[in-house]
Amino acid sequence: MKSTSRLFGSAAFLCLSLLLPSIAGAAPTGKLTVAVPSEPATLDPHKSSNRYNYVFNCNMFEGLFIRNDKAELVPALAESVAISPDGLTYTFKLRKGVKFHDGSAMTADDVKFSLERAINPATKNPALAYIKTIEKVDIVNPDTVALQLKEKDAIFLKKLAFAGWIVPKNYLQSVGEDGFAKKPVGTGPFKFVSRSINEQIEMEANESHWGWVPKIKTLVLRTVPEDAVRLALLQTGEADVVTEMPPPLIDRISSIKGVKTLSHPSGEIYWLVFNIKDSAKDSPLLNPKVRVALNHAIDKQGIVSNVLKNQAVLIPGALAPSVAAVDKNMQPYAYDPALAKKMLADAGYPNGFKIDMYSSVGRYTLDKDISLVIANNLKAAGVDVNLNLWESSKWVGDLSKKYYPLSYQAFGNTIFDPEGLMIFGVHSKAFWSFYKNETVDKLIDDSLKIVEQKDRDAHFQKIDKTMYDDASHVFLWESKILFGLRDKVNWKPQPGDNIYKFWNASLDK
Amino acid sequence: MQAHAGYLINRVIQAIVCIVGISIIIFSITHLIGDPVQLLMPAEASQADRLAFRKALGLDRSATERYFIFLSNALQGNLGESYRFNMPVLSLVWDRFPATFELALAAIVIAVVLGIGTGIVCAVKPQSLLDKFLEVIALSGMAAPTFWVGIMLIMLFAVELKLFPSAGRSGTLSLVLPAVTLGWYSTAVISRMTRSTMLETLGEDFVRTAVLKGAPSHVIVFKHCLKYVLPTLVTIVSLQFVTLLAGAVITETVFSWPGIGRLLIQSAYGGDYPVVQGITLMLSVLFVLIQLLADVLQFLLDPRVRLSQ
Repeated sequence: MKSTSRLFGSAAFLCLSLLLPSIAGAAPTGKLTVAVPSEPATLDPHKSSNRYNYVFNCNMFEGLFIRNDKAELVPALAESVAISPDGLTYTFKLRKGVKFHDGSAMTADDVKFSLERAINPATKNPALAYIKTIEKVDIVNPDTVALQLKEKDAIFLKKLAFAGWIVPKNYLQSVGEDGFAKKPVGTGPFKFVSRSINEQIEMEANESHWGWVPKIKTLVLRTVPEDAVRLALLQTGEADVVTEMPPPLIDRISSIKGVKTLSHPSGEIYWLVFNIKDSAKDSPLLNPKVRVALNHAIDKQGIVSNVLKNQAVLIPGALAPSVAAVDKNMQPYAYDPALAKKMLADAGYPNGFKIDMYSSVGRYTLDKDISLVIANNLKAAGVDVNLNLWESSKWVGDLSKKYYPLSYQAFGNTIFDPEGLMIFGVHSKAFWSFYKNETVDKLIDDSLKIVEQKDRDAHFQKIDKTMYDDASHVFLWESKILFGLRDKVNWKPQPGDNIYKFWNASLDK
Repeated sequence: MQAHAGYLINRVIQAIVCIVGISIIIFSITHLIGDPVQLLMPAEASQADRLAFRKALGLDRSATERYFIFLSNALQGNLGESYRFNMPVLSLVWDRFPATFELALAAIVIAVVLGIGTGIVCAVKPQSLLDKFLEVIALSGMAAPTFWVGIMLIMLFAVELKLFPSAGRSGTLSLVLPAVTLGWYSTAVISRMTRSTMLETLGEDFVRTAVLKGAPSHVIVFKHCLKYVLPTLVTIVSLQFVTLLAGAVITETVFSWPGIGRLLIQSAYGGDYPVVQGITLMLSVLFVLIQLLADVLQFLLDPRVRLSQ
C-alpha cells in the first residue's frame, strides 16, 4: 500500500515536473528572426492568396478547428463538434474564455461574422472553394454555433481548418477593411506588432493564449528574396532561421560554424504532366503504353541524388507519403532506358516521336536544371523532346491555353487529404488538370462521400493505383524543404506542409 | 528672349510626345507577360471563377479600350489599383518612394564625388600609371554585374568583417553597402566622362592662355575648366540619377531594400499589371522631366547652346 502511494506520488511529481515548464516557465523570452523569401500580400486572413499569408495566419489567427504544430487536426476555438447524421449540420460548442489580442472576448457573434465574411463573394476570398459548401451560420446560443452545409462534405473539418479563420467583428467593423489589414487582431499564439512592407513583420507572444503560449517573446518574419543573402544573414546571426534554401547550398550551410540544417517533407508532389485532355487524336501520349515507357525513361533517383541533393523522396504514384497513406506495395517505375525504348517500339514508335515540353524557370526549385535532365533522359529513350523554358509568370499565364503536351509541374498540400490533389489537380474538370480518365473521375467523385479515414485511405490508394497503372503522369517525388538554423534554435516544422508555425520554437540561453 | 521661349516650348512639346509614346509602349509590353488571371487565382478556382475574375478586372474589354481607360485615369492622377495588394498604385509607390530616393541619392553622391574626383585626376595626368589603374577599376565597375558586386560586398563587409548589416533598411549603416553597389556603375560612367571632357577642355585655347599667363594648375582645373565641363556633367549626372532611381531593381532585391524596384519586380512576377504600368510610367515621366530640366539648365549655363538656337 505504502509503496503504491509512493509510486503514485512520484508519478504525480513526474507529471507535475513535466507540466512545470509549460506553466511556471511560461514567460516567453528571446527573439526569433526568420528570413523567408517572400511575404503576404495582405494581412487579412480572408484574402490570403499565397503560402506566406498562411505562415502569418497560422501564427496569428485560429479557426474552430486547426492543425496544430504536429499537423494534427484539433479543436481550437471550438471545444467540440457534433455532426448531424445526414452530415449537413455541424454544431460547434465554442471554447470558453478565449480572448482576442485586443482583450475582447471571442463570441458566437464573431464566429458567425467571420465565416459569413469568408464565404461572401464580395470578400474575394481566394480560399472560397474550400468552404463554399457553407449554406448559413446560425447562433444557437451564446456558446454554440451551427453551420448548415449545402451538401455533405466528408472532410469539411479539414477544409475549415484551412480557411475558416475567426476575426473580431467589432474591431474589424470599427477600423474598416483596410484598417484591419494594416493592424490585424486575432486569437492566435502570436499577436501583431508591426509590419513594414517588403521588409518585415514583427509579432509578439500572446501570453494569455488559451492553449499554447509561445516560448519565444518576439517573432520577426523578414522578407529576403535572395538565397545567398538569406544565407549571409544566417551566417552573421542576423537571422536565426532561414527557410527554403536551394538544395545545392546544403553543404555550404552545414560547413558554417554555429549553424545546422534541417529538412522536412513539404507535402508537395512533382510530376511530369501529360496533356491527355486536349491532345490531338493521333498524339502518342494517348497510348498508356507510351506513358509507361516514359515513366521508365527518367532517372528519378539520379535527379534526386545529384540535382536535388536528396532533398526529395521518390513516390510511386501521385500521393505524398507525408500527407496520405501510400500503398506500401506500390513501387516507383524503375529507371530502365532499354526497357523504355523497347516499350516504345512495342507501342508502335520504334523511332520515337517528336514532342514539345514546357517548363518554368524559377517557379519550382531548380526547375530549369531538372527539366533539362528530364529532356535528356527522354532523348536517350528516343523521344525527340523540344524543351521550351519559360519565365515563370509567362509559363503560368499561358497554362490556360492548355497546349503544353508535356510539362514539369508540382502540386502542393493544403488540407492534409488527397482530395485536394484529386479534385483540383487530377479530375478532368479541374483547371489545373490535363488528365482525363472516366474511371478516375468517377472514383474521385465517390471519394467525396466517404467519411471514415480508413475507408478514405483505401479508396485513395485505389485511385492512386489506377493512375499508376494508366501512367497518368510521370510520377517523380515529394520535395523536402531545406532550412538553415542557428545552433541555439530548437524548432520542428510540422510535416507535410510548407507553412511554418513558431509557437513551439525556443532558443537556448 | 523670343528665341528662348521658342526653344523651351519646343522642348516641352517634345517631352509630351515622348511621354505619350512611352505610355503606349509600356501598355503593350506589360500585356506581353502572362495572363494575370492565371497568376492571381489559386489552383482551386474553377473556370467560372476565373471568367468572373477576368471581368472584375476589366480584362474582358479590348486592348484599345483598356489603353484609353488607363490613359484617361492616369491623366487624372489615378494609376489604378493593385490586383494583389488591393491598394491604389499611387499610394503603394508613394510608401516606397522614400526608401528608393534615399538609396539613389546616396548612390549618386558617391558616384559624383568619386567619379568627378577620379576623372579629374586621370585627366590631369593622362596615360600615367594612376590613370591606367583607375581606368581598369572604372572598366571593371562598368563590366561587373550589380548582382555579383552586391553579393561580394555582403560577403566581405557583412559576413567576414561584420562592419555592416547584410540586408534590410535599418539606419544609416545599412545604407552603405547597397548605395556603393548601386553607385558602382555610375561612378565608372561619370569618371570616364569627366576624364574625356576634361582632357578635351585642357587642350582648348583659353587653357593654354591661362597656362601662359602663369595661372597655377589647380586654378586652371577647378576655376576655368570645371566651369567649362559643368554643363556636360549636369546632363550626365541628372540622367544617371534617374537611372539609379529606376535601376535599383537588382540592388533592392539583393539587399532586401523595401523600395520601388522590389515592388516592380514582385509585381511583374505576380502579374500585377497596374503596378508595373504605374511604376514604369511614373519613372518614364520623371526621366523625361529631369532630362527637360537638364536641357533647360544647360541652356542657361552654356552660352553655346543658347547661341546655336
